[in-house]
Amino acid sequence: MEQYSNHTELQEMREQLTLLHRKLDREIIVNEKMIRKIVTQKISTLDNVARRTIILQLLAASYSLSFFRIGIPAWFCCLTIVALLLAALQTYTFHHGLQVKDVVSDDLAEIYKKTYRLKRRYAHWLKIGIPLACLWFAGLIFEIKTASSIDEESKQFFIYGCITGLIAGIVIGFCKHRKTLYTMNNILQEIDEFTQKN
Amino acid sequence: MDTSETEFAQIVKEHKNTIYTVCFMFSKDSDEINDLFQESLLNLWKGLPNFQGKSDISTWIWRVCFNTCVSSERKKKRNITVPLPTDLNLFEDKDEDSRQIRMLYDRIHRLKPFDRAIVLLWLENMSYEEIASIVGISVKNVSVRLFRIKEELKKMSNN
Repeated sequence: MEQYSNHTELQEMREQLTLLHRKLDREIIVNEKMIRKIVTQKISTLDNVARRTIILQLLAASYSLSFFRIGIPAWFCCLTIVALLLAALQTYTFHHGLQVKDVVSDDLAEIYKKTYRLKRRYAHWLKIGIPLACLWFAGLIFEIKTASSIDEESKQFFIYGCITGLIAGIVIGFCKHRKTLYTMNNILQEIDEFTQKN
Repeated sequence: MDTSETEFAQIVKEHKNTIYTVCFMFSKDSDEINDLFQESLLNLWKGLPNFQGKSDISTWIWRVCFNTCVSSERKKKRNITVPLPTDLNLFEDKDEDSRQIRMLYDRIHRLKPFDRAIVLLWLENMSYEEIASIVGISVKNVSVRLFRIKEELKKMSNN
């Protein structure tokens, strides 16, 4: 009896789905205007967040060249530039694996795995990146304070500038981190029950 | 339009029902259907060059639509999109067909997104192999999940 009621219920759902298709057959849901809009959309290879981050990192690397002029040791300047270029590469690599056009044909399970992997890599990167950034900032303040070619007033000016930059960087970084995490968690939540191995 | 655009337009028109059905089952209102539908079209357009006929076109379309609906960020601010050229509003229309369709929606919408995908494909008379290929789990897993989904649907109607 229970099997029968379940069967009729499922049959009813199939009939309701047929009704939906019949209704949709009578409707014009797509037209030339919509298709035109879709095909003329600019397809970017990287999403906006990643692109802005990489641009910022490259700008910061080029700005770091000015460290040479104010008397910061060359090794410190080179280290800064290399670190920023590596960060830009890291950002590109992180986002490259989960681009829409790459995963659009993947199945749900694969998207879950890629998103989960990306989230883990992101968390690991933060554990390394934040202490390194603190170390670098402490090193920068030390080098500015001990630089013999800069007068005391200019040193104060640079230090205030560095602190302002640090605060701005923390705020921007925190907002970006929240947005990225939100996106990844949203995807994972939607398909969260896929934890079984195939 | 050039060849790829013509091909795209043709594919979309042939499969508009599939795309709309998936978007409907994953949305909460007609504005969201609009957003998801157009995002699905955009993803189909982006993915078309990479689709090399490895699977059946309808399998690919199902997959892209599910991926879009499941992965779509629920934006607080709606994008300004071209409105769908239809007055159809399955959430509010009062005719008997719409009422029946809403009953189907209510049942399916209470399931988790992953299960929604599986049950929709099953209701479309797809084989377990086809469902497994679209969703990305084993055939055995499809069978187990479908059994659980049917139990859940039974519980819902008993309540």
